[in-house]
Amino acid sequence: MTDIALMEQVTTQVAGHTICAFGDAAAWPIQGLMRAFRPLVEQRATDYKPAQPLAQAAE
Amino acid sequence: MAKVTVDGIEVEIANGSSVLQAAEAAGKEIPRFCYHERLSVAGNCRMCLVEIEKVPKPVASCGQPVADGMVIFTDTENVRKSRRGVMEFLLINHPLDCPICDQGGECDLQDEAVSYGRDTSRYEEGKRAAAQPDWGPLVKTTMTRCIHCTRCIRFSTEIAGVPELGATMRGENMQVGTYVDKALSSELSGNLIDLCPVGALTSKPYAYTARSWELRKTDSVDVLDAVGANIRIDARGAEVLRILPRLNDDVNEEWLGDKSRFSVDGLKRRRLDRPWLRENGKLRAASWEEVFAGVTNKIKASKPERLGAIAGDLVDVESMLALKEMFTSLGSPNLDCRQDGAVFDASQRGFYLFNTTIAGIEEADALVIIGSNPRHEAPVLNARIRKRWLAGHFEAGLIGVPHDLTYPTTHIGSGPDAITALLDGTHPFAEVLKAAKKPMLILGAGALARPDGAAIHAAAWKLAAQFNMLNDDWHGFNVLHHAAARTGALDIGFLPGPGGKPTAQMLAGGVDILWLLGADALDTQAIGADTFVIYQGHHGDAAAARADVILPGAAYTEKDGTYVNTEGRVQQGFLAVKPPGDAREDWRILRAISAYMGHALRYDTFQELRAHLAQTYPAFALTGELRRLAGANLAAPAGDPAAVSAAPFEPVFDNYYQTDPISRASPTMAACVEAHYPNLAEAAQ
Amino acid sequence: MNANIEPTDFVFDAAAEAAVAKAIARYPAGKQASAVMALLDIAQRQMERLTGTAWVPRLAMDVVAQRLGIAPARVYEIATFYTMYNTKPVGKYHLQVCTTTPCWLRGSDEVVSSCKKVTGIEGFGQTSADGLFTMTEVECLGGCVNAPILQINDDYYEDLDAARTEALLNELKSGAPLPPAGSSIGRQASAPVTNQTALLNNTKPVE
Repeated sequence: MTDIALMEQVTTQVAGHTICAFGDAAAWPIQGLMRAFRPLVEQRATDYKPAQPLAQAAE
Repeated sequence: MAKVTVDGIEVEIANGSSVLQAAEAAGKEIPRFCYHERLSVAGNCRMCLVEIEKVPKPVASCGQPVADGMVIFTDTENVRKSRRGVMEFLLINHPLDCPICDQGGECDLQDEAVSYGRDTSRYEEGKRAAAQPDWGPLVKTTMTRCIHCTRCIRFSTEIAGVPELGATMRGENMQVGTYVDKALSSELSGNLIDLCPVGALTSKPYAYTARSWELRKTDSVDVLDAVGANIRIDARGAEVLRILPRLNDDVNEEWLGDKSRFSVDGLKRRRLDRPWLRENGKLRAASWEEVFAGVTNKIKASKPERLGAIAGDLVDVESMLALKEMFTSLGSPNLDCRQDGAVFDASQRGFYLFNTTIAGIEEADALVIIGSNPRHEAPVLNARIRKRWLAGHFEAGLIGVPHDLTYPTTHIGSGPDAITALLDGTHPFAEVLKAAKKPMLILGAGALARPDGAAIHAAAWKLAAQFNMLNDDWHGFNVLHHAAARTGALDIGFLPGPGGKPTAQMLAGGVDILWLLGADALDTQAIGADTFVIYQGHHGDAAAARADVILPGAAYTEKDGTYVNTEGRVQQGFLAVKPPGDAREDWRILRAISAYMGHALRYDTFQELRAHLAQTYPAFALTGELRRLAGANLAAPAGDPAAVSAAPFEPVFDNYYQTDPISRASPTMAACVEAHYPNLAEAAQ
Repeated sequence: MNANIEPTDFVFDAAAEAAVAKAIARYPAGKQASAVMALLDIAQRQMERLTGTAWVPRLAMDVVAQRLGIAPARVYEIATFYTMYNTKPVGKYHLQVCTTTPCWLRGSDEVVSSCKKVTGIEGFGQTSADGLFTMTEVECLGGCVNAPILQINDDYYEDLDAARTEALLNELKSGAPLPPAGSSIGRQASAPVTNQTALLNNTKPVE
């Protein structure tokens, strides 16, 4: 849960605050995801019980 | 000119300047890692963000050109937040090893993190790991600390001219390195350590030695080549720990050759720290009284014209003046400072100076190098030539051994006959010189240290005169010395007086008593077996082994002294540490011994000696500054330009790293020779 | 694989020389350095032709640098930056699995595990014991419509799933040549899986 807050905060550090041309576009999806689906993300994170180590591709 | 407003301050700045420069002109500090005044702009550290009116996002000020009417803000809430963000991102992969990092205390990242960063880290993930490549005996790499500013890459490519560094891989895996394991083959590689804003590149010999705040800093002048680079000597207690360059745009900009920087450990080894006397063929330790008595008796028993003195390459002008005046009062005309045996007309200052001046190289548009390898003899000056070449419309020709000088050269010939070919116009490079507006030539000191030195000197002058190198506002005739003491010695006339003998004759039995003031570069085998040799110097090198009496003197870090660089620029160095043991400053030894002999020199303090120097030789009244000489209407030096021999020029040094007693005593320099000249290192063993 | 060792010598052969001349001629005089990427590709293809493994040895980079009059370090930078240049030998079939979000959502994990199963490779960047396959993880291949995508050498194999990937690789393992590239479910170009839905009456575009 704290990660979500951290992630949101970091996106504000990127969007509009760096010279990176891709920065805004990279940060917005995360902001959008959190704005629209935050409860769902939180739910998934709470329910998630790692049955096996994370697959490599899912990192 | 563009008028811009920085935080309410209006400044005018040349078109094409960057926003960062405008902010600096307004006195605003902009944090930066990748930007460097003397390198190209990369814009990849993202630290120098500022806000500009009507621009939605923050702008990297180093790469943004100014426009008229621009309104710049360097200290708004948004700018601070941006910089704090960037700082955090930079630190994500930067290890927290400041306590064991040699850069600690003089680290840009550390300073900026305190000024602009957050107080704590929020990242718990693992940090990037990186291999530690071996870049040779001088530069220590800790690549985990690298923030990818690419200053080192740009320096090696642009300034040093050895494009061996690159950024391989990409993204998180990006690595700055050589890709192929090898030692950096630049004579300026030490500057990478200064340039690196973090602790990724640090000095290998200095590793874990001291913290910057423990050091006593003394401004001085480098003597290991004749450029006279401005240096800062960092010492702790009685030990010189490191040498760093100082900023001087007219001389070394902010660079320093590796030999000058890393020979410091040679100052602690093979030192002469007490007087020695030879008895029954063996040197034994003695007291100052004993050696004074011994020397006085010897000199008194000898005829004045059988006394001789040779000054070495690292000696300060004051000591040479004291020795010269002592010999004059003894009645001996046998003085020489050219231990390499060079004989040429030194009656005019312009005959032996680098008249164009080092900064003046940037105005030249053609260059002929005669019998010199500036990359080895004066690497910082060579970097200036490269800088000129990079600016475009510049042609360089080389007469002598072909070298990679880090810029392309036309090889005109190997010997003096190539000068003749240029004079006759038979070599195509003559056309280049003819077309040039400000051509210059560099005559290496090595080219003069031959039997036909005077003729080559005259031929080079004739070349200068013929190709419009000598006129009212341009003096293109340059002699590049490699000995720091040489120009100063010529200025005070440390030369054979009327009827005096030059070096070669003094060595070949022309004198009974030979006083060597730090003269180590001469062939000690050539000294006559019956000659009584007095060696005054600081290192137990070749000449000390041959000496009958050793007077322990001070190295350049251990005395105040005046040095004249190859341009004729008078510069003063200052004492950083005391000479070791019983060793004393050289002028004191000479003053004491002169009193012992009953010809006491007229000065009792160093200030008096210096005042006397400036009074006797007006050139010494002006320190630091330099007046450029006009080249028009000058008489040619004595010597017959046609009398040159056909023998090709030979390199002065067989390697860059070991050329004088200090660098020969330095283990770091020995390691460099091993790394860069494996053949030489093998031969030495 | 004996090709694991740096070759002792690298020269462009006749076929490559022709391509090199053509690549360099594309750029104005004095700007030949721009041909560096083409030359690296030519070198890689020559290695494939001659040794069966497509990679650029360091010596080849030096040759390219010398040919274009640029510093070797500049060539190293480029060759290591782009993932299309292999700086280490790869198998005969270079399996480049796209695992970027669209492919991942469409089942690139399945493709990866199938690759591992058939070839015996344990992870990305490895080469199978028989020297036939090397599996690499690559970023977006730009074929997201037909995801997931497996690029084998120069060709895209699209719309894969576990079974079809296995079949494809088994075929290659048995020594068959590379089958025709493209969609593995018979999709026409990037048209919808449920067949074409637009431009059905074949009207000609308005002039």
